Amino acid sequence: MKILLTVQGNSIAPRFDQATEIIVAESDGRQRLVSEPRTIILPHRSAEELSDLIVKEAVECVICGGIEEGFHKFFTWKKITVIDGIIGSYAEALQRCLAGELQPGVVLPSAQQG
Amino acid sequence: MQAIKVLIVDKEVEFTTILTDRLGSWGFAATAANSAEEALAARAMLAPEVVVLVLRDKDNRGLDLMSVLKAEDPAVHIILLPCKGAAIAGMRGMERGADDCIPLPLDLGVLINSIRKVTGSSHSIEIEESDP
Repeated sequence: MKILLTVQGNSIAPRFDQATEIIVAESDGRQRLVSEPRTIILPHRSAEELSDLIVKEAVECVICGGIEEGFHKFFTWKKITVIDGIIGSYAEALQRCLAGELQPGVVLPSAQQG
Repeated sequence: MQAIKVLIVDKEVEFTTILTDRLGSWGFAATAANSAEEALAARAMLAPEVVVLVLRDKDNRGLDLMSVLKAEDPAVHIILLPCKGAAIAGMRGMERGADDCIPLPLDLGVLINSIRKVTGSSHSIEIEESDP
């Protein structure tokens, strides 16, 4: 499964439309990554271009902070799982996602530590 | 081993900040310049081995800067990052002597491999990032 996380520094970006850095990770479906996650840097903030990238990369799961309803609906229509409203480090979010333990709207312990 | 000196040139501060930070975490000595003037001053002061130059326009301003940088230091390696709509400018840049051209959005791993390739660097880079 291909997972995309919107990133700001070491955290999940608070807003999907403001993200200029993303991490793309691929799991083998058994809680393990098949390769080193890729970092992709966008030339500017653009929810439309990020959305295009998500579709082109054949991403199956998007982990992000706040996201506009229109994009959420579009991804759902494209059968892409959206786990939104996440607050905390992207590394922890990814680990929890791989373990099948990440739910929308979660404030991760890493956010509370900061 | 001395870190490879990389100068990143783009008018978008957010882009250069992220890229400088990420390349730094991979062991490169990365510096940002957000205008042609800053780029020329940084080149003179730092003598970078690689210049990563973003092409945002269809016109030749970025390529003109590349020509000046190459004239000042013929040994400098230039990697072009053309935005959407600037692919032709990227191709022209390759014709004028750029070492590589990587379209944006930028896959960081592809840029790191390109920097290693153009500098002939095969040494391992210390990874400070803690990706899962």
